[in-house]
Amino acid sequence: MSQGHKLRIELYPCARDLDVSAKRITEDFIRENPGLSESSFRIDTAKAYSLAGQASGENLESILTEILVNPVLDQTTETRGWKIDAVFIERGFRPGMTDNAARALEEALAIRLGKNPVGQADFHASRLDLYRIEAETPELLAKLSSFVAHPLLHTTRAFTRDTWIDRSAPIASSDTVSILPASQASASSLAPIFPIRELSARALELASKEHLWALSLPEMLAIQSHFSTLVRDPRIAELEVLAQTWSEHCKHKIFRATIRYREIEGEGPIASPRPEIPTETKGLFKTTIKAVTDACPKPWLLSVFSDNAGIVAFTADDAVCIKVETHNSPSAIDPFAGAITGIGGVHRDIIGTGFGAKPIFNLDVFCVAPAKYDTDRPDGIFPPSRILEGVRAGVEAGGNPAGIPTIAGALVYDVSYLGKPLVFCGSGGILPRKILKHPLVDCAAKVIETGDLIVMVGGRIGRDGIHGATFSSLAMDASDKSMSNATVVQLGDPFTQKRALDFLMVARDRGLYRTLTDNGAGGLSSSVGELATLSNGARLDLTNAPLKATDLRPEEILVSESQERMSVAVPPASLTEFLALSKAMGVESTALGEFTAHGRFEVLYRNETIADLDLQFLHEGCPELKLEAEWTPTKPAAFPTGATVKGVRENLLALLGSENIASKENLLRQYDHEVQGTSLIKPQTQIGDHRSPNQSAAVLVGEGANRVAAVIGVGILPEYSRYDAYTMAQASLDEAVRNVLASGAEYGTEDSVLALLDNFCWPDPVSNPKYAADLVRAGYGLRDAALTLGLPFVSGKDSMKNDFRGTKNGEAVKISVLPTVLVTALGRIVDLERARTSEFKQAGDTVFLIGPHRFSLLGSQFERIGLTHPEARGLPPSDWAAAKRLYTWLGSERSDRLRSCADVSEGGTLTAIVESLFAYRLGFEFEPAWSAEANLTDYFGEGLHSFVVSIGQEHEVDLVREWFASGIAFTRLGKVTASRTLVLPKDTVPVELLEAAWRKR
Amino acid sequence: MKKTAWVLTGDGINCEVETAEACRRAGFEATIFHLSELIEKPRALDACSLLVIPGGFSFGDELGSGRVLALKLRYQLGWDLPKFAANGGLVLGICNGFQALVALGAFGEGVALAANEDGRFRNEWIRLEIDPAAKLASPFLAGMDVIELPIRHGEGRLLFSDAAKAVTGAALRYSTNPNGSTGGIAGLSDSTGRIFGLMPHPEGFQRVSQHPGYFRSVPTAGPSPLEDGAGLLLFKNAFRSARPATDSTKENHR
Repeated sequence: MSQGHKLRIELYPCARDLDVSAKRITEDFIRENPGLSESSFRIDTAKAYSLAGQASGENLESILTEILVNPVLDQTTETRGWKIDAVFIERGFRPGMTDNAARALEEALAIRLGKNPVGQADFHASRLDLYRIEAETPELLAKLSSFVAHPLLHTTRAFTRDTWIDRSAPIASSDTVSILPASQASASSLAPIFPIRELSARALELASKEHLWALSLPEMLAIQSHFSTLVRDPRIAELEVLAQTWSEHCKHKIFRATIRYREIEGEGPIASPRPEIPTETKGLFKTTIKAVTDACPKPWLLSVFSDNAGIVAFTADDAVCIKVETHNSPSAIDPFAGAITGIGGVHRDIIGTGFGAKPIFNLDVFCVAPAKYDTDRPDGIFPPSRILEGVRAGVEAGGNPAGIPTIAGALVYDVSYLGKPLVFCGSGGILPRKILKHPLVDCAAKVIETGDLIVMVGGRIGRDGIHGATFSSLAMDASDKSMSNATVVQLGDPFTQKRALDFLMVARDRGLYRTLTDNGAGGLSSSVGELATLSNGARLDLTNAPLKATDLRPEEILVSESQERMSVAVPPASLTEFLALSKAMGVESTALGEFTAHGRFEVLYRNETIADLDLQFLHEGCPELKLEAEWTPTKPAAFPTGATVKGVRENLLALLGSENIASKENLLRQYDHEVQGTSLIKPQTQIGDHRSPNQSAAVLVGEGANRVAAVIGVGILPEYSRYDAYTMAQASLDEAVRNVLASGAEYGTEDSVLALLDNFCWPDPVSNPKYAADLVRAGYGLRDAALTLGLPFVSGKDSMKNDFRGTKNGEAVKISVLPTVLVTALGRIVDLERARTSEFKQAGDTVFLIGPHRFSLLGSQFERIGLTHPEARGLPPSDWAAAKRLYTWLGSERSDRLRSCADVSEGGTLTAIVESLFAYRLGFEFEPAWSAEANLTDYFGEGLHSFVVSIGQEHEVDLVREWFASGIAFTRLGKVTASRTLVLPKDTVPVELLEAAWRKR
Repeated sequence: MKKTAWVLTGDGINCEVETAEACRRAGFEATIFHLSELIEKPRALDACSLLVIPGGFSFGDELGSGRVLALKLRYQLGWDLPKFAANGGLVLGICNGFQALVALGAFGEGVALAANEDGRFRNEWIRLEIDPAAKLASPFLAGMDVIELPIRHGEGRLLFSDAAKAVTGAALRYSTNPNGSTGGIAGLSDSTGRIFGLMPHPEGFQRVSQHPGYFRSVPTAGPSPLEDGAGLLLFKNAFRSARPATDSTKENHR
């Protein structure tokens, strides 16, 4: 085989039932096209691998067959007859995209031929997916054909029966692949100048848009003025670096802005007690989130807000770090790719925290529109079902192969997420507080010394991942070219990341590097630009940067991000050992310059300076934003006051089957939540064929005989934003805290560890004073709650342009997400015997509602699914002082007598009770005195601060006395029974019926 | 003489830590070896009593789960597993490690693991029945009849060519088939019984509190959460029948 020739092997499933890809595509297509039957079309899939390269004397074809063909599963020729009007689609990755199967094949060949698999490949492989599609009508055929293609990631070719015969003929010169990198960029164009000094304001705005820099006019003017002072024009690469560093994604300009706030009188529900909001806020982050942490100087806070993730001391030896990111924009344009890079990106954040951490858990929260909008949506966006399945699959593909358990999460359905879904990906890691090699260095310390080398570790740089930071800082416009811009979407490669992680952990423990960070948004420009502040300068030379595509321009190399790439500061004396270990462990590492102390960020490419920026200007030169905020109470659009109130049973069945409450087991069980062997409380309790609802929170134990456990819970209640984002933020925080307390977290003593994270996902507050006001109210909502509870925030992230503009039936539409705060709580359980679950366990146990329960149907799931109720309503009030008393009791060993504990959340008290019956086939009987007076709000109302608990009868008297003495409100609700029925005042409902309603989805 | 367990890692294997822990709880002196380390400084397999290939996603499951790892074991390490077993060694492959053993031909030709019937990854607890013949033949399964373990895989559907069906030894079966596996088979044992592999994760039930039903007994007089779980039996069985390591001079690794 000589260069330019290609080998191609096609693999067809031996039997129809082995073609699971076809099965899944068929399922997905039918889900999106209800009414279509499986008999009206048929898809068959196959795979092909092609190989180009240099080799002599080897029987490559038979070796390829050995590697690829599994005779029990695959055949290499197609044996099924063709239908005359079928089409064949061949799909391959766009050049420069990560093709994981092809990389594996290259490595398998190297292994088989006895060559070193790392570094320069002798072969170039590519993987192709083949689809044969038959359909009843040409329209359906066309629809199916476009269904299997992802134009952002793939190129496709279509064949008829007659043209299929020529399929292996080369179709384009780019397809016959060159192996060695060849310079495409000519020397004269390495560092083009952008003539910023001569441009008008209008021209500056246009240029920012044209280059996808997402810089505002004041920012462009600040850059113009900076370079005017320098008496030179910037190079393009310098503007790229500034655009990445100043992006909303990296800089959080809105959270630093000065916001003027005012309230207009109006009729509508307001948070209770009514909050005092200042008329001017100088930096919402500083004033609210960070102010809380400043007021809670806990000894266990090792690093807050400054690093990739917050770090808290967990035991004398170990620290835990945690981070939650969002990946909304990429998930909107390619759900799978967006989500896999989201989860991969947050793993990379954890790996790059402190002196390096090992990821130990994932959490994921998705906000999508209900499935009924699949067929009722604006043009140019995906059906919500496809988005949900895509992001679910993306997190699965990024989490399971990485060997990181996905243990917690939430799924929120609301129509406001139709234009742009919210995809929160979180991860936590563990790191030793000291390493033996450098006992004086604290895990959270980030130190670089002048002369340390910049080493890039992990995946090669590709065309994918350019402009992710700036893209995600823009609103989505279906007509915008950025929507079809391939470079903003990447595909993660968890395998390469896992190898890099394995290597970095060994290198860390051997003390081979000083510190590290990830090549997230903005790529090397951001990672090295940030690390440079530690030594006060860096000289980065891109000449030897390993590339996936050979025709990348230097400024593209500089800003391309990746999930698999880290930037590491290596002392010169350790470089040889660092690189040797890297090679041995199958990881590519390359030295790319050094850290300096000159106060500059210099970038070179082939002996030419392509950027030379003042670090001070780079990090501090971005002008401050000013925002106007105006808030008016909003009257509920359709106050559901209908007179027909159904019985408790009908309402309960409707709620249990509603999408926000119904079982998510099909989704959950596709995540590995047990790998690493640490799960103590799993997402669902499964006993035989019976599953309990999602547990309040997930609990992880440490290795070996360690008795300390970590507990992770989330809270997200965007529904309340329709009325008051202050209540929304407080309820979300409260839910996260209650979730971890229900599961046994410690709280209330000086050294009890409980930390919070905030994630804001907002519609554009810059152009809309209402959203700016919601932002201010949410910020103060979090502050007021967290200050009273004494709980610090350790990390946070915001995503600010979650608006969609497009058309539907020829009319312009704009969809903005509900202002959404996700609060994540990380708690500690001092002894794992104190972990507890939410389900009832024993017939005869007494069930209490504890907490200052003042519930409301406003903003509840009851209201959301359109059930009508005539009862009075306002937003559920908060009472943080009473909550603190209860939480302190729950967070102490005094609560060990509880046999189960569940927070009252979506669906209210009755839903919490009913969900607690499923796991152990139990029943429940209400206290007649309670149910005689109960109204719909008592059964289904939602609010803050309360729990449903069960206790053994032997503890009842003591506990009641104790609650009374501690000022904790409580109500005796009834008894757990063995009868498998729910006994209501005038009705007895079989639990089977309730479980069937809850599990039907 | 000590009984040693080698637990492989690297290239996407990801259950090495808890698997080594299970080996230690069962009595082994367990060492985690990165594949690259074994390739750089080759060691004779006979220096260990038990070789474990743990679960994970070696090579990202590309080109078929376990297949590239099998190539690496065959061509870069050059290990002869049947010979090792014939000399008294034990081999355990869990999940991805089982997939690699199958791809290596440890259970004969014509055996394959395909994607689960529904094309989806699945994590759930499942009841398994031990094959009565395998219970007698394989030292791993001595005295076991049923066991509950977690499964966590996307490619666990065991399929056989017609020729293989007749000779391959089913070791344990799912009581309800989660993936379309022929005969509900969850694990296989070679003709000596000393090479054994399974899709479920015994190391995932080494502590009693890993079982999802554990919390029913809390806070009454239940077992301490760190007590041994039923999955550990497999490792204890292996420990009981393992021969001591022939080489006690090995260095201390990680």
